[in-house]
Amino acid sequence: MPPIPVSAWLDPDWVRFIEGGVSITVASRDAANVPTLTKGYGCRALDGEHGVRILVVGSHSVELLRDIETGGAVAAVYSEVGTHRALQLKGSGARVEIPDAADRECARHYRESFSRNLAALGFAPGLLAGYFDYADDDLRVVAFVPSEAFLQTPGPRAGSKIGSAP
Amino acid sequence: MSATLNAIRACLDGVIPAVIATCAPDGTPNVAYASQVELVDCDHVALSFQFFNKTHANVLAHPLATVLVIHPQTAACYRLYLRFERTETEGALFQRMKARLAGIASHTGMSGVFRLLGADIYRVLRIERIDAQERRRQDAERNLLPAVRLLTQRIAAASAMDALFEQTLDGLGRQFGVEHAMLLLCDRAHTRLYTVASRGYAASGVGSEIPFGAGIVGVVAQYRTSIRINHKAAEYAYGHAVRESALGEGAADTLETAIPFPGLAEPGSQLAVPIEAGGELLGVLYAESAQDLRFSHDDEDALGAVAAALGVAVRALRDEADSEEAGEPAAPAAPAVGATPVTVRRYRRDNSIFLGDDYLIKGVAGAILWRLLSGYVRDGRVDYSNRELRLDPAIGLPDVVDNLEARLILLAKRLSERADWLGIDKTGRGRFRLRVTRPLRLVEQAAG
Repeated sequence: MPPIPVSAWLDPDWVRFIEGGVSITVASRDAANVPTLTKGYGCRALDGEHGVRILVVGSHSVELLRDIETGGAVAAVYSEVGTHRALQLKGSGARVEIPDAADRECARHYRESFSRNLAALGFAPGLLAGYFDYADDDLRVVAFVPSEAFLQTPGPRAGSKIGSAP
Repeated sequence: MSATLNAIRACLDGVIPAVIATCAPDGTPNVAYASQVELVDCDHVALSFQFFNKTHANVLAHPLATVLVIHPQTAACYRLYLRFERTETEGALFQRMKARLAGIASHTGMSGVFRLLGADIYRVLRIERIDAQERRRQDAERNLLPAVRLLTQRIAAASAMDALFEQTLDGLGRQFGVEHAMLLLCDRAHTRLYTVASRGYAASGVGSEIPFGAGIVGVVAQYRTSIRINHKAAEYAYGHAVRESALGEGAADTLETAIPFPGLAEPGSQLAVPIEAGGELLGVLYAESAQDLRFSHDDEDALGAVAAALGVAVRALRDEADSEEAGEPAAPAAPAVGATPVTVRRYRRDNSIFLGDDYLIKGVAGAILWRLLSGYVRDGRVDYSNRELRLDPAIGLPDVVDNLEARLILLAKRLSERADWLGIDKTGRGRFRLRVTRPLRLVEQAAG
């Protein structure tokens, strides 16, 4: 049976949210359950077995990519800077892939939209340039099919499950 | 360790939120934002524990966590590999984090949502700089060492307490660019702090009082820890709420409330450090700014160094003034004549003093002034030494008088702000003279 796409069970607003100019962080863990994490530089939510594809910078994420390849456990948190609206996706069986043209386009688009959002909040252009200081060919994709989504917006409902694959 | 915690502490100021990854016993990772990562010492950090969430549950079961932080000027990223040690729910670190969290909460629109349940303390096992290539050098940061050196030298050289107070606040303005600051000392019983000097306010507020535990200054005194808040935090500023809650706790009777506290109504940044010497708490040095994120870790260290020097100097000058022997008794002063007599009224209940119809001061300073005026009316006496005044049973507050020299400075300043015909002038080390240029009539009233 093919994996259930996230769009089949997650509210479309949240699907748009994870593909927008929000802050992204991806985590995994090694065989001894030591967690590690890295920044995400764009995200696509595709149908079918392609699942969710998060762009990361390979040289910044050596341990994470190793842990994804060996264990496949993954969690990703998305947060809207300024409102703190946030969502966490969890899944297993994640893999590391080389980005295709659409992934690269997604990274370019993310750079624009995230920069625009941060600049509107008064973050300095120099800081943003530093944040996006990576080589395009250093990008990798963490691809997985999410099985659960949790609300992470601070407050009493933080951590509650807002969806899972049927 | 490729970087030290102190070298990357600017990352912990919350400009860019930190993210923490943990792992459940079944191997499921969890990743969440951390409202606050506090530097505890060179190999510990504390994270705020606000809700019983997955992060907290995970580290209780499996103590390893990894935090990602980003430098707010260079965007350099670091991973901190941590091991959870314990949760603290009270004490100095808890109070420091609670105060900072109040600023973070109001800045992020989370007041009423963020509430500190505990400070989760982690040992830092390893710090990893993430980006491979060395990036831009950090923006030339303000180097505060020359300012610290200059100001502590001036403090060490001060030979009188009033000059010490003025030079300290002048120095904070000139060398550190601190526009709003005040210096408060505490009473011996550690129940309240009284303002002895201030800079940058419409009214000096000298003589105003703050109970221990109220607002940032009161919490710093109670827990003897420095506190730095980077955003507006109504709970710690000196608006109506803090005063009213303090008054609600029964302090209203004796607390000096008629003299308004001089603080900014809505400071964007607050920094307060305890003034200590020889294990004794002497007071609090407080700086604030209308601007958010005005004070860094470096400012906190710099102000701490200034407060340490100040503590030693205050203690030495206090002890010196107290030990000075009385001088030759001076001839009684000729009574002031000519002008209209002024009625000076004292309410015995709280030692509040009124010059004519105008409130002056109450409490310890009121009792001291009443003693001086009584001696003047009875014997024409104007010259005193601190020592004899301290030992004088007529003041009736020997155990409370913690720092007579500072109380006299406060009284002299308050008088200079409220009356031109009555004053206290220093005449030497541990000596002073009462100056009266109008005839007096003293009236004592039992009821307040």
